[in-house]
Amino acid sequence: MTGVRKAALIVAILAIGGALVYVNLSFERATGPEVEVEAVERRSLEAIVSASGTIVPQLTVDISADTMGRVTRLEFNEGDRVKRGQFLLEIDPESLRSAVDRGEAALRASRSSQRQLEVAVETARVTLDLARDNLERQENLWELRLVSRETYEQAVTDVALRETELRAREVDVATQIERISQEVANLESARYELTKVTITSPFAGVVTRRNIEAGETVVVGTMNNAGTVLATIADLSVIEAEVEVDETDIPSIELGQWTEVTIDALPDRSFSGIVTEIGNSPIQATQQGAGTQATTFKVVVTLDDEIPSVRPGFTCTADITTAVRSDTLSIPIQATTVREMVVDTHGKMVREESEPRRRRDNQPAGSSEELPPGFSEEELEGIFVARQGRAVFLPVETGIAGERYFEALSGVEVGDLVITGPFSEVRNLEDGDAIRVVDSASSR
Amino acid sequence: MKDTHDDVTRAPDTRHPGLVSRLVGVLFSPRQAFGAIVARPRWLGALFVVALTMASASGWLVSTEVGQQALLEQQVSAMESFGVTVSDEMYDQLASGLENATYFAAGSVLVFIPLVTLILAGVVWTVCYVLLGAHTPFRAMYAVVAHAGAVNIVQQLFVVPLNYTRGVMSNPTTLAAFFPMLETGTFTQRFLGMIDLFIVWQLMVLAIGIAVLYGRRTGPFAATFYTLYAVLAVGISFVMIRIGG
Repeated sequence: MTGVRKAALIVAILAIGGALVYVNLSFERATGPEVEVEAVERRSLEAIVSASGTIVPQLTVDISADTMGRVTRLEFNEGDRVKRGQFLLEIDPESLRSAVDRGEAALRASRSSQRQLEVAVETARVTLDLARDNLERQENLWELRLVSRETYEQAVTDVALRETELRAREVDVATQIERISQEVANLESARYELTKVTITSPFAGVVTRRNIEAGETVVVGTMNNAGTVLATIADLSVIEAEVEVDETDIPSIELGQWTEVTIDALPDRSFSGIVTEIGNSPIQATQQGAGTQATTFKVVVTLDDEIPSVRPGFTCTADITTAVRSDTLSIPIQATTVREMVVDTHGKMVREESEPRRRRDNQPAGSSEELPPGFSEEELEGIFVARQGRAVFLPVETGIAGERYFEALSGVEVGDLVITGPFSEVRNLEDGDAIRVVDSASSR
Repeated sequence: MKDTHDDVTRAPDTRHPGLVSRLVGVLFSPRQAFGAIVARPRWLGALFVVALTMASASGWLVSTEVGQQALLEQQVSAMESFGVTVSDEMYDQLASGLENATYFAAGSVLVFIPLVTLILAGVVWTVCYVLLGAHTPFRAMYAVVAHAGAVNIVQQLFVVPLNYTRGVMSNPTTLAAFFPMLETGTFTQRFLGMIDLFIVWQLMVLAIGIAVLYGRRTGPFAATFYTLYAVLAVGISFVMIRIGG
């Protein structure tokens, strides 16, 4: 090999070596895990609280019997639509009707007695007048000493006796009037009792339940024994959804919030309504799995429209819109994460020098003992964005939560590529980690 | 390389160069150097220097924090390339093994270099004996292969500082380094990543040495080595693609 060729060979080797050094230091091959990204966009967000419950009518009444007896007429069936005052059933009225008849007869007899007593009063009054006339004559005669003193005093006594008799008769009349009033009251009571055997609908609605058959005997409820519930009538013109909302969502619930209700039995349809009642006491602490309890509160949503085919007791789901944002910056919910980062005295994150290698928990980026004075480590909520083959952690202040997106109040800009997955990689990402962005439909 | 045009092996030099001269000669004047080596086959010194240099370089790199982190990431990447999902527990286990990585790296080099040299020399010597009917002392073949390791010394001196600077343990001297735009994990990228320029150089040096040893042309040996190397690279790349997905 000549000197020239040897020199050329050495130059070639050096050139190749230099090229290797250059390309290795200048072009760093994309390494790290593959991640999916999604661009930050402005979207309209709705914060929705979902809760499940049942459909109930706003007004429901259990019809019970006020009197005991056997049902003799029954003119309604379950599911019937009834009008206000419509006859429903009748309990055997015979005994109560007899009581009314007895009362009427007693009243008539009392009034007859009253008339007799009034005649007696008139008789006593006439007798008194006669006695007074006699006394007046006897006085004149006594002044002329034409009658004996005994005769005169007997006339005086007779007048006093007749006056007493008149008062006695008048008292008898007054007593009889009071007795008649009592008889009238008894008759009214009997008539009222008689009305109880006829049961009518208290309002227009639908018979949602019938628990009685013709011929059965109904029992009046007492303090210790529940009476017979004959039927249940519901006013289905106003339908409500009673749902159980988790305690963590209750603070965001307010009266009047718009709600979309879906009924399991009526798929492919949804109904609108508003929140009309928010419970102040927890319903109950229900057991969810081992050792965990969920406290829920009752929230009532009144539906806007009638639902002809609805039945009380249908299960439903209410999506209560607690907040609305239009044209706001949004980030995917699954992209948000929490990392322990170094912050300065003003609470701002201090980004450490980009570290190309993946770090795990066993190799923390630094401990607080090594931090400069005033610096500390805090857990910050944020997202990772893809920038030049690196995952960059950005602290983000979030607002309301939509179905898939958080409202981003600060920390990101439109177009930032947010790392959304896979979850196993997002979970392990650290600020500055190398990543490879894979093509995905959501990437922009 | 133009050495393949030389059909005639030069007569052995009557002078006997020293160890350093032989190793440097293998790099810059391989035919002359191997002529001297074949004339007086001595392998121990060359093997010792090559193994010691490589062990020292490897051990030093792994002893640094950068080297340990790079080694850890290389292990993780290698496992993931074969479809293994590295859990945090596995990662911790790998990290805990870095304490002895220096000794392990240096020791393994000291063990494997003589062993690989022996195996390679034995295979080549046997193949040449069977196919060519050539009869040469095995000691001479072992000396040729051992001296070809001089390329490994240069490679270590080139790669170790570069890897330390980059903070990675991946091989920076493959053809893949010239194509950073290739997507990782593709067959092309993996195949180019298997073609190491220093191995190409070493195979050429080895072909020259064997040609000198047997007094034959360099071309067929070089072609055979490169063909086997290419087939091996294709096969490994294919297996990695199939396993790694």
